[in-house]
Amino acid sequence: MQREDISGWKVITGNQACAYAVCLARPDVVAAYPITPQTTILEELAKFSNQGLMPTEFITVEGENSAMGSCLGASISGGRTFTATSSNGLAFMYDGYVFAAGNRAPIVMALVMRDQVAPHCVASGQQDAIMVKDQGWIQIFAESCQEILDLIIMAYRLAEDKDVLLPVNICYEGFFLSYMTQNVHVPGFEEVDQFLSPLKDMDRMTWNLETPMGFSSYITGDLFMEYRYKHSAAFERSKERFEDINKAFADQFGRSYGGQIQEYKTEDADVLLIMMGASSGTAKPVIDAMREQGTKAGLIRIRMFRPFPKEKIAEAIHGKKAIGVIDKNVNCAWNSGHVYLEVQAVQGIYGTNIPMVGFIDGLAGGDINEEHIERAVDITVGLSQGKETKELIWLALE
Amino acid sequence: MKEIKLWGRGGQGAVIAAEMLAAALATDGKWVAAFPSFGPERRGAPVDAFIRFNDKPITTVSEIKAPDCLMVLDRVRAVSTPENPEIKPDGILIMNVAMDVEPINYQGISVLGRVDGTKIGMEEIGRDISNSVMLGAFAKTTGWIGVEPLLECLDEHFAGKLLKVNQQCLKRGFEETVVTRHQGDV
Repeated sequence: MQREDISGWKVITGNQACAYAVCLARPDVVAAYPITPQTTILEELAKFSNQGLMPTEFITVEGENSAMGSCLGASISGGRTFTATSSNGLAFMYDGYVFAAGNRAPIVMALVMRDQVAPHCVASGQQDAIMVKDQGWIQIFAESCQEILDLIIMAYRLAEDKDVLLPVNICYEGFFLSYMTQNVHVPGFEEVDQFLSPLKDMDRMTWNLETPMGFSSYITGDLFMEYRYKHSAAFERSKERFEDINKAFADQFGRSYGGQIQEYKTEDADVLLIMMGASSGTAKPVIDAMREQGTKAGLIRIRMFRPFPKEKIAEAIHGKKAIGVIDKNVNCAWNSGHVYLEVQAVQGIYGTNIPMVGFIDGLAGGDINEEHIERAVDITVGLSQGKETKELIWLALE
Repeated sequence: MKEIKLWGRGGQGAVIAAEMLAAALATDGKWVAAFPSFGPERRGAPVDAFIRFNDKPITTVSEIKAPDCLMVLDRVRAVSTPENPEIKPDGILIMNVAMDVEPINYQGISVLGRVDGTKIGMEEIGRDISNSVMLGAFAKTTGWIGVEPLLECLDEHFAGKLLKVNQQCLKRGFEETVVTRHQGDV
């Protein structure tokens, strides 16, 4: 297999960065079906394959349901796999998606996030990731094209860890990251091999022809509950493991993003914004500018959304005067965003009572711009000063 | 940090133009962030592209409202560009327009670059694709990047005959763009 050096600084899109990472991880099987805004990942992988850079079996499936089925079969047979989809593709994949989680198949999947259709759109959102958030996959959110590449590599080390063995979604916004061109450093094959080498000594049970075994058998009651109990325990272990992997990545590649969360100027902050995904990147310069004007604001960016980093969040919000959560998703049944609800749950569990305000913005490609973010900080500051504040504010509508 | 906005229509290479411009700026040592915004993915539908560049990494992913430079690749969008376009005070405007028409007196800009991108595209490529021409116009009007790095970036996207004609377009865009400086239009 040709090992031409593909490393170096490149100016590439988020989807291309994803493809480079997959190429470097050298999966055994890629099975995927195109959908906007993920399609260019597959185009790029096809190029790499034609150039002889990937010893990968490409299965050009007829739909996303088969994509996950193919990955599942390959994964439980011991193969490293990759797939990618968005929104309606994920909906079509749902059946297999749940199967993969229940069978603890360490599949890595790029979830190039789109909003939900009806009304019709193909634009950026987070609702597709939210739709499946509790189906048993690890979900980690990126902020930049570089982080997409780095997270895909880290995802294999996390998923295939014998103490984890859970499938992983690397989630990033369609358009705002998938088609975003940025400077990205692509590592070399040897470096990535080295980073993934700890997995070599880790055995996992795989389906094979020598040992007769049942797979995904019919199970009920106590034994089924034991499966779910163990799944929850694996999620719990994955939090610590993700922290370790981020440290190891920073040591080897020199790039650090924090761990389950990234804290930006939170230590001496009076008020905090909590966000998830690409628009955190827009918030950082806004926080800087507001600090220059005397507002002591900070930002928590949630990277690992599943499992939810409740301990880290509880620690980071401790002692703050108010919290504003900007959700790029909606929970209509609760009239709030999803991240808002989960942070409220953290407060309930840890017995804190910091005033909170929820914001919703950026659905279906709506621009979470500097103005909106500044307004969110101002409102949160007002809340910290006892101003009467609504529980939920739609930044684009009000 | 400088912000550039491109206005085009689907099928004219606005997105590729933004990618090439970003790549050229990066080879010039800049940190870049460029992305498109469009609705239906079809020929003729409006396409906006945003490019930011700076001497340090850019984390912002919001759309650009009032850029430092607005470049209009498409003749139809040029015709519907308002006389006071949304642009930073004393910003730069670059238009694909017919050159035998009296230039419009745009308000609030400091520099205007005009070139007949459509005509050059038709002559060199045989189609109304002005993106390479307008990259040349960009280099001439703003002076923020030279023609050489732009020509190098064409290699990544084109080969053979297409590469040659796009190189021609870029050079002609640079040579034939007329740049006028406006004093105190605000």
